[in-house]
Amino acid sequence: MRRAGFVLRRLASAVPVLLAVLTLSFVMMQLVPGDPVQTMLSGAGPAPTPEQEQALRHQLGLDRPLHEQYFGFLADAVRGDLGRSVQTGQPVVSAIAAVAPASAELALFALVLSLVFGVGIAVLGRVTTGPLRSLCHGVPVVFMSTPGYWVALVLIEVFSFRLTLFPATGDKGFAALVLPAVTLALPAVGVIAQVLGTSLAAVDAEAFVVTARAKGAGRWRVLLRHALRNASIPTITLVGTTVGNLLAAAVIAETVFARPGLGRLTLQAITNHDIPVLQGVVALLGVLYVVVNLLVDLCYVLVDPRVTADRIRD
Amino acid sequence: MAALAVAAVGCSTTTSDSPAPQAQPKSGGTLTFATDADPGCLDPHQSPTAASQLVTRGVVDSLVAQDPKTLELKPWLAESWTSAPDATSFTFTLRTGVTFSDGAPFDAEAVKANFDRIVNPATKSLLAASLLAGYDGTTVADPRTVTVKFKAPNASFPQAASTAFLGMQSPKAFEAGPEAVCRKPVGSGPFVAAERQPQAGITLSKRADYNWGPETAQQKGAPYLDQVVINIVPENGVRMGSLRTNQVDAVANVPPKEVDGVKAAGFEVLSKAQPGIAYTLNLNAAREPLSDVKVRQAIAKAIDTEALVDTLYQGKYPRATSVLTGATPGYASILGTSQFDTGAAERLLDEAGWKKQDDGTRAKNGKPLSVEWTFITPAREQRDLLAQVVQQQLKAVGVDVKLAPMAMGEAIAKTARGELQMGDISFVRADGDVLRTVLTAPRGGAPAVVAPEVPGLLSAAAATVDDSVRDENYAKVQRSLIENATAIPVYDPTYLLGVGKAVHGIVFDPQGLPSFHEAWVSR
Repeated sequence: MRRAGFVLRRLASAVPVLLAVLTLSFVMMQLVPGDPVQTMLSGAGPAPTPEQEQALRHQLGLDRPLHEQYFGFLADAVRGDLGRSVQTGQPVVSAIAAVAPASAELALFALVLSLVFGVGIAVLGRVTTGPLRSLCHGVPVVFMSTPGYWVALVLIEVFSFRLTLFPATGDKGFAALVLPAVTLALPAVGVIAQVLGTSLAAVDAEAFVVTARAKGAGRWRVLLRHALRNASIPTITLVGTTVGNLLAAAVIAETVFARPGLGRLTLQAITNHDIPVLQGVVALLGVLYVVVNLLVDLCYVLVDPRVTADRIRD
Repeated sequence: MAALAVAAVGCSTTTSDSPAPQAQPKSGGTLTFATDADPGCLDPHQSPTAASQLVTRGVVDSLVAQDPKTLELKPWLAESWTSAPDATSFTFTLRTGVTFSDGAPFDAEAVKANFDRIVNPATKSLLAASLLAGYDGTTVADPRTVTVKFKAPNASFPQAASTAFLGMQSPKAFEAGPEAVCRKPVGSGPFVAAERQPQAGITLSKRADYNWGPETAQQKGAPYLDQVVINIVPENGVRMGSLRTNQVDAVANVPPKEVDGVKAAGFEVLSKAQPGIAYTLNLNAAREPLSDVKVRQAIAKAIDTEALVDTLYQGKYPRATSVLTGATPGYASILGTSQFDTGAAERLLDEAGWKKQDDGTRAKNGKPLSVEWTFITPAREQRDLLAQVVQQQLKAVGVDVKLAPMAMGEAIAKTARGELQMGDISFVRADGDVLRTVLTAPRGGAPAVVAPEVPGLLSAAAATVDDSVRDENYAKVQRSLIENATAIPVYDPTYLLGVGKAVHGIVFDPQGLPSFHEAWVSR
């Protein structure tokens, strides 16, 4: 019951955040140089007449006072209408919907890989000794500091061109998902392994771990039953922000691996000055962040009984 | 005229199990083609891009076919045609029994519907409409006979009608609106396009009942291939690696520096010099400080096009010797030797009153010598690198160039408003009339015309079917643009196509683009 109330309150608090995101994206459209009407009218024929420009301006509602445009934009956005792409004339919502599944698939798989390997490396770094331990401590930094573009090209060269294990490009089937997902996951693996590793080390000195050990619990039991759960809070926060970073990194992964997706849609919109599409992507990101933050908060409650729904309301 | 690299694609002789080049074509199979540029809209009536034409050429047929070797015009969907003596109207007699892939018949009404649609502002044509400049309507005499009229002479219209831009599409498909046609053009061609998902690849399927191939083609019937899958792979290294590991059968735009390596690995690289406007830098004589011919000439002389082309394109793209490329009818060699001469450039700038400062820049009356280059992005063929080299070369003589990257649409608008200082352009079309296209309509980055006789020369050329008069006029226009230094030709764009070992029969169309109609795979 308390949890249901908590979820509802969090959802309600998302409304002003989304409003702020939409307002920002509206302001962005006003500030970006370039005239959408001229972009839409530019052709090889004779230059558009002022009448043509005026007609299109009227049709798009760009001749109305700014505050009317703003509220019209908000009302349309609430109804799920984010306008049309300046470049293709396609509704922004369907342009995003067409590529979103491919991006979601990639991001989710990358997230799973980051968690499995990030947690795996952190745990190995605690339970092993000798060179393997040093490796588990050193590798995260390498992963975090390697540029994604380079990683993508090396992965393609080794696993596609030399070993021919995976296709280099395309979006057909699971095999095509592997290399781009690894490219995306690598920096996240590094961050998660490092943060979780540090937390585990800190928890190791806590009284309850010492007690557990004194009672004769084995290395693994202490780690899995006691330390990991306590150490995971900072990592959960981190995973929340990782989701946002995945989209930024997807621009590179999708270009190099020639996959359709939100990253390439964004890049295309930027090069073509397609502001409505950019606005749509920004709004979607806003929604995503709100949802992910909500999930992160819920995870806190599930993982750590000391955190109650009331205590993290703010 | 440059030799045209048109040949059935042979196999490498280094592998023993590959069939002989003259092997019997085999039906069936899929050819996977990796291209570098996203074609965006697939409607040739709307889109101006070569990337889009690459896809649509196999989907739409044209009234007329241009022979890739002789550049002569031959029948295709029109069995014959006549031109009025003043070149203001053209009557086509159409082939019968042709249908569009959606079942709609191809007839005189369809021709009228196509041309009417192209000039309709609602279609938002970025190029095709300019090929129909002065269009005065189409009249249907009977289902087989149709007359296209113009307000002013347009002698090169039949050539324009041979391009995919003026290709014939199903009028029934127009009803769904221009955006729907962008995703799925419907023509009468040897291939049928599947509806395209945004950013995804494009699948072309064989039209089994096709039997109206042009006279210029070896293969008049249905294509050998069942399917052509076109994937967009922008990253050069990935595209080339995919060819080497046989993940794709052919690749577009092999980077010049990779050509020798790809050949050494046993793959074929087909090269085709493209007809049309060479890659040209343009200076607007209506804007300060470029209004002074000495400043423009100095800039032309300060750019070492020979070094540029050698370094960036390793001899795979020829240095341009005129505004038209060597492969274009009407081409005249103006710059047999490079005009690069920094001494002369410095002298001209001194004479024009731009005095060298201590820091190497130049100024006149306290104003620095600075030019804004509206640079069209996304850039292909390493033009972004080229721009940086030009910037350095001009800096050496004291001209400051500021690069202002801009999308094509905006650059066109800026050119139309006359606000452009410096721009760049290249443009594919196998007819000297391409000069009229880029000089009289506001193409993005097109040269500014200063000599008052140029428009007259171009319209006189458009009014005659006498090739010697046209060649003479086009030569005068090319000379005028270069002597007035409003145009600085840099290189002749060249299509470099990498072909896998199992692929045969890819030929280039007259626009310099690969065609898959006669292609086949042996595996």
